[in-house]
Amino acid sequence: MHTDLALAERCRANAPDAFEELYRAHAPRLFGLACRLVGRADAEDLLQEIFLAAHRRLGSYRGEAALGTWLFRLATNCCLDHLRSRAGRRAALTDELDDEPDAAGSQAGPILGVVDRLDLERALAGLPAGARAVFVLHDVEGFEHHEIAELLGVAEGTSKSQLHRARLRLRRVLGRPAPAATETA
Amino acid sequence: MRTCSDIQRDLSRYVDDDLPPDEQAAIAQHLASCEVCRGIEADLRQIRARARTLGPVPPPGHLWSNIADRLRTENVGARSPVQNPFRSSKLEVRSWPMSLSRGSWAWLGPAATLVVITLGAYVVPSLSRRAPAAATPDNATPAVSVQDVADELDQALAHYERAVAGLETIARADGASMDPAVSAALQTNLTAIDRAIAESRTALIDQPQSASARASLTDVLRQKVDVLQTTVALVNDLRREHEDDAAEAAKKLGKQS
Amino acid sequence: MTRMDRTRWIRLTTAIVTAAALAGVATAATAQDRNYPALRTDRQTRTLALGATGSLDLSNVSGDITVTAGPGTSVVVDVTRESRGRTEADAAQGLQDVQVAIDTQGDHATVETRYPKNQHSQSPYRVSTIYHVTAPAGTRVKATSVSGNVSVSHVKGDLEVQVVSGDVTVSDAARLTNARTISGTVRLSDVTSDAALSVSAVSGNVTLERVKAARVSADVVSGDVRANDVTCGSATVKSLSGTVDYTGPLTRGGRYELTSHSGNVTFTAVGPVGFALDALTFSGSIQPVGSLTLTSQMARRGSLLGTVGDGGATVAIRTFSGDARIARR
Repeated sequence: MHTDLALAERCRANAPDAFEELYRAHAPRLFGLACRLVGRADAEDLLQEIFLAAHRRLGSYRGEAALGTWLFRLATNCCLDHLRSRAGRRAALTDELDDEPDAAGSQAGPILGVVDRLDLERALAGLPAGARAVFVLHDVEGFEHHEIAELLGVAEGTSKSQLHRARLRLRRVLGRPAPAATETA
Repeated sequence: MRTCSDIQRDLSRYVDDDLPPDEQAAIAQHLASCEVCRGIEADLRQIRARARTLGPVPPPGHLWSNIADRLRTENVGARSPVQNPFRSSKLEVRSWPMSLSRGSWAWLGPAATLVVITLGAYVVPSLSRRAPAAATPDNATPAVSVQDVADELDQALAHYERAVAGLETIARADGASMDPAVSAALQTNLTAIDRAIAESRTALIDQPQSASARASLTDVLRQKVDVLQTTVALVNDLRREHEDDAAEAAKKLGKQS
Repeated sequence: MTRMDRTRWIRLTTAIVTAAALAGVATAATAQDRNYPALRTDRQTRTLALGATGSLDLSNVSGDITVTAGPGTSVVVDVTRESRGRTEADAAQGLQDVQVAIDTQGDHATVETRYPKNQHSQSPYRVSTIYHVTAPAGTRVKATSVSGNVSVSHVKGDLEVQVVSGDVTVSDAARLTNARTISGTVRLSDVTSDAALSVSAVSGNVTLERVKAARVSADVVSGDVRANDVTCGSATVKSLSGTVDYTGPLTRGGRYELTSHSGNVTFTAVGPVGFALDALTFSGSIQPVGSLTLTSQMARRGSLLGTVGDGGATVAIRTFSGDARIARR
């Protein structure tokens, strides 16, 4: 925390290299988040906006949370705002996944072989924005449901059910194709 | 008695340990005897585990330049001028140690000093709520900024240096030499590039705001890497093609007549 | 430029030395001919039935390669080996040691000049292998040589030429992708490529005449680049110490980057498409030539931005100390 405050101070004072140091330290994690939330194409522009916003708002950082956490929240909000504005209306962010087809009666045992990280990233990109945001925030970034609920403006129960559906959808996309008979759209 | 459907709806919460103890136990019991649900549970656990390993993604090099540029324009007025981005990359100039045997391998060890630009380490402390996975180099995109080009140059030169060291050993055994015209050409050109690098660097240090100096430095650094890599690739291709034992080749020719 | 594969770099170790050894052996300097008065020659012709669109991989060490198109569906490889030795016996030994290996599989053939391992410059002979190849126009050709000129004409299949020391001349080719030399000139005329064309010389000039490609990239360290009547969607042309001259029509939306560190850059746009100009120099000058007029012009020391005509394409010129001249016809 002490070093965080020191770095923030140096940035505020426009010390040489300070902001670049901040960028080098935190950009990869924030970029990863942005890529997964808004897609690679928009993530590049968005990352710049995030850091410019951070630069403007550093004055309000008081060291109450780790600098990384503070930046992360800022980045998350930027990304979610971006998704909202792209969707055009607030409601679209909570694009919900419908119930996955009932797995009962389908083949027994796991259907996933070893899941490749790249395959997962690709499959993730195919989820609708709201469900994807929940999955990324919870499973990739480790937020709690109550935090996600607050960030997305939904009920905690919605966050939990969207997470479940996102996981099931990913499972279906990543799994070996099930026999045609049990596959419903 | 809960059906599989009921159980499955709670599987995510089960996997996340997010259920009251009696419900956790009930599901555990169901799973013990239900292969279908157990399969789904295993898959959910795997997805969750894999998701945790999705780590930071190194952003393309030009993003920082863009940010720095915009900060500069935002800094007009009361604030102090934005610092030279190159001061931040701890530029080091050192002679490239070329301990080559005399004579034959002159082209690989230019008499002139090769300027090697090295940069400070890329620091990524882990400040997240969970230790992030290591940065995935396979996610990196082609470098555009000077820092990335200089990194690339550094890496290329490091390999080159190792190759040269290896060559020295073999050269002593073989006593061979490259066509002196080619070796001279390469030596001259690498020297010319190094001079241009030094020129651009000096210009940039003198005038940190100069976009043209920055552009020049990027260009010549890249050119140096290109030349090294082109030369190596060319020679490597040729070597691969002539690898086989000539005797075998003679046999083949005999068969073909 | 992608990073070199680590394994490739490690293989470099033996690669350079072997090729260098071969080159050392292969040097056919006429001054040395006095030391190698004996000459033995061998000429062979091989006909390879590769079909009208076969592929040929030709690799030489020392000696010129000429490839041209001919009728029929076979590739005819005419090989002349010239072995110079101190004595007749040495010359004969040269012919015996240096072989041409031809390997055919289906419609693909590899033709290689092979030297025995552990060759060194003290060997008693110098062998030059000269190739004359006639191939069906649709043949895909890759020609590489350590020391020798390579000329290819009228080949319409995929074409790639790489030389360490020697000139590369390509004319009337339809699918050239790559033409490189380390020490020598590259001359292309009436060449097209349906994707990207890459040309480079470390030490030597590059000349492009009537070249059409989706993307053109030309790179020279010490030598000039002269690109006349080049039509492409985007171009990157660079020299370190030589001049860069580019003349050609622009494609709407295209990007043309011309760079020289210490040489002058002259750009002449031909035709109706205009361009947005972004010229930058550290210590050189930027001069619009003749009747060239710029609108929305912003000129500062060492920098000129502006729009010419309809600004349909983008032209970026960079020099360190060279001058930039911009013209339009």
